Amino acid sequence: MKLTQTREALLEDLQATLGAIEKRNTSPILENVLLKIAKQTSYWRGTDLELEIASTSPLLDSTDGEITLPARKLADICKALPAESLIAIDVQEQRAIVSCGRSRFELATLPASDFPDLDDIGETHELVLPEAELKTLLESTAFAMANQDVRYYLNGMLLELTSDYIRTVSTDGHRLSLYTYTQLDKPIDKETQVIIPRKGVLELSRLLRADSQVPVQVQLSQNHLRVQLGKLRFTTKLVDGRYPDYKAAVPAKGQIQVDVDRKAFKDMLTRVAILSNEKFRGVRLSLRDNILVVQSNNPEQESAQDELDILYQGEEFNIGFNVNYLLDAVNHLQHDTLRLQLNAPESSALVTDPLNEAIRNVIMPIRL
Amino acid sequence: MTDTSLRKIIHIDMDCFYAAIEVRDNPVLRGKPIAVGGSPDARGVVATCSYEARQFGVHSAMPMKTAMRLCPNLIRVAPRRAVYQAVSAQIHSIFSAYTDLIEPLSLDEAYLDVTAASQHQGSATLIASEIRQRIWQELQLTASAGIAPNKFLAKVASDWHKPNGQFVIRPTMISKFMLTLSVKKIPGVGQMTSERLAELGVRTCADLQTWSEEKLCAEFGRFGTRLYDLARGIDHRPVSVDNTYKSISVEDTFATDLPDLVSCYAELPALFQALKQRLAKAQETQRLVPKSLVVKIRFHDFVLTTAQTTTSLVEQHLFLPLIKQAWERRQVPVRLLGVGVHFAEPWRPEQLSLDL
Repeated sequence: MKLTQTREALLEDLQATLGAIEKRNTSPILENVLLKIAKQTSYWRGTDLELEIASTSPLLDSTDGEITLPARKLADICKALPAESLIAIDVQEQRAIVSCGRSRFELATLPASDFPDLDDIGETHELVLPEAELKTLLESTAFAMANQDVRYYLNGMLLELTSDYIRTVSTDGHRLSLYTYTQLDKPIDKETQVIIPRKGVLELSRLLRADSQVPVQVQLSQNHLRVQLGKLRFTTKLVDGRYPDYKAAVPAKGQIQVDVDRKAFKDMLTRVAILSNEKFRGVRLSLRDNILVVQSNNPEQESAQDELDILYQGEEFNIGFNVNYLLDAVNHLQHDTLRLQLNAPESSALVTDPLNEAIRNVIMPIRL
Repeated sequence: MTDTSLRKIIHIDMDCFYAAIEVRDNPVLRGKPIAVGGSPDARGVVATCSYEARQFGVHSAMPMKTAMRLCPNLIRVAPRRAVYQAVSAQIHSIFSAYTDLIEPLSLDEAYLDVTAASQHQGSATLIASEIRQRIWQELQLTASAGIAPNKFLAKVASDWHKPNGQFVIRPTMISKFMLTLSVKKIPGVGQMTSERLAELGVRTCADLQTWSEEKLCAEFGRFGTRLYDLARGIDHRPVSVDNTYKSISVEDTFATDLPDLVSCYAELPALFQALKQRLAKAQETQRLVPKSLVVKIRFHDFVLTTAQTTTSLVEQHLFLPLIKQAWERRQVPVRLLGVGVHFAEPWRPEQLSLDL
């Protein structure tokens, strides 16, 4: 079997599939990418048994066949070859010869018959939404997902479909983010909740383009989510578990409401964070008459303080937060102004965008 | 989460530290069974003993009287704490040539994180040999070392070729190494836990690995999670250079048992005075906020009991009701009496959780 392809087209296929391939796997074939050639078309596929990414491209020249190749090495080789060059891959007996101009590489292969398939994903229902919107749904909340939490269902993102909206929710137990998309072309016929595993969320949002309004097909089955993205096909298993009732954890609003300039607030937090406790990352927010004071200190007895003018009248209000949680929320809002809504020093706070009701960030404070 | 998989941790453990120093400074003792510790007539216990003494079954924390009975030729040496402290400081200065991340466990034991060390192209094995060699050249004492990717394994490893040896557990060896490791080697698994584990048919870490985290937690509470990790050679604890005091206490083992409560009360002023002095010394370098007061009593039959009360005040009279409370549990003669102060955690903020 063999193929000839431009370096750029090859790299596009390989880099997409690499997202599913672990650097080190106990099973060597999972470090490989599957290549099938048929009818002048290449079909590449990588998997970690939970996540699968496939990419299809027309070829300049080819002979049919199938094989698996070491994915990262092949991608590194293509990257290191000159731009715009033509690359040939020629498989002869268990070796793959990659050649380009005067460069030549001989790679070990494993048989395609050993390459695992994901289980049949079964019956699906489908929704269609613009690529950029899907990316926003994922990226607006992904940062709040747990990582390696024993509550395994938090190591992923809730995707909730109702007749009126599509919503994503992520939480690590200390903070929660949700994003609601309501611009549905047609109502969704089947209300459902699924949990997309963490890696699937991160890889899918990596593949999606922020500037594309191309409609994307999202297929959901009992245990899988599949997204068809032009020549790419992304499939992930779903987390088998029940997501906690997040609605109870999202306050409707705060008794204290303060609007601040997002950029100024972010810069101030970044400065004060430098001298916060490295482990707990605590900062204290004090609302005084028309002024917001942010303070930090650390075990070395160093301290930082910064101020921002705000519209606030009333009793002094003090509350502590993990500064990283605040910064994550601030960084995932879009507009110039953000709204801070507070209730009590030990109750959750809301960080929202006054111009965009779709996004809600809930953060639990630190007891100072 | 910081990547803890690529750390290089060395556990250095001096061989029979106090005894070795005594032999070094008094070569007549070489090759003889010796034990450093208090006098048997004054209820002394063995702090350290030489390998010659260990052959007779003598071990540290054993009452000196028992030790003398097991090994009639045992030579008892009174401890010279100031000397041991000075030697420990010298060893520490050798460590500091390689890393700032040093966690002393006692005068004779420390963890070193040499992940960032540049000597020997970063080879922790060679660094450990050099440290042991320098300890020998500069102090004429031997040390054993364990080299591993985490503290737990490094500690297990330092015991492997003891005395005067070292052992490396490479990341690739861990899974195989754990299979044959006895659960008794796990820190925190004492006699009680190992007996309970044996009842459950668990003798090696391989046996332990067949247990789920949930099952272990059901059986051993919070320690279950730790067991689950340790059975797999996982230990994310950093080498902590934190040397803040968690508590300070003083205690005395009496030459003759204190027969009753009143005689316990009579010992309090001297103990409290000593406690105050140590507290004042510690306060010079750290801000310590007292959280509770503790009294410890060991009765003549070695039964140990403690009593404590929450208060930020350190006053002599506050210990009286605690002594009473502890003594009244058994109302028999007292061998050891101790008083102490526990400190509040230095400002530890608490992250609140969502109600999910």
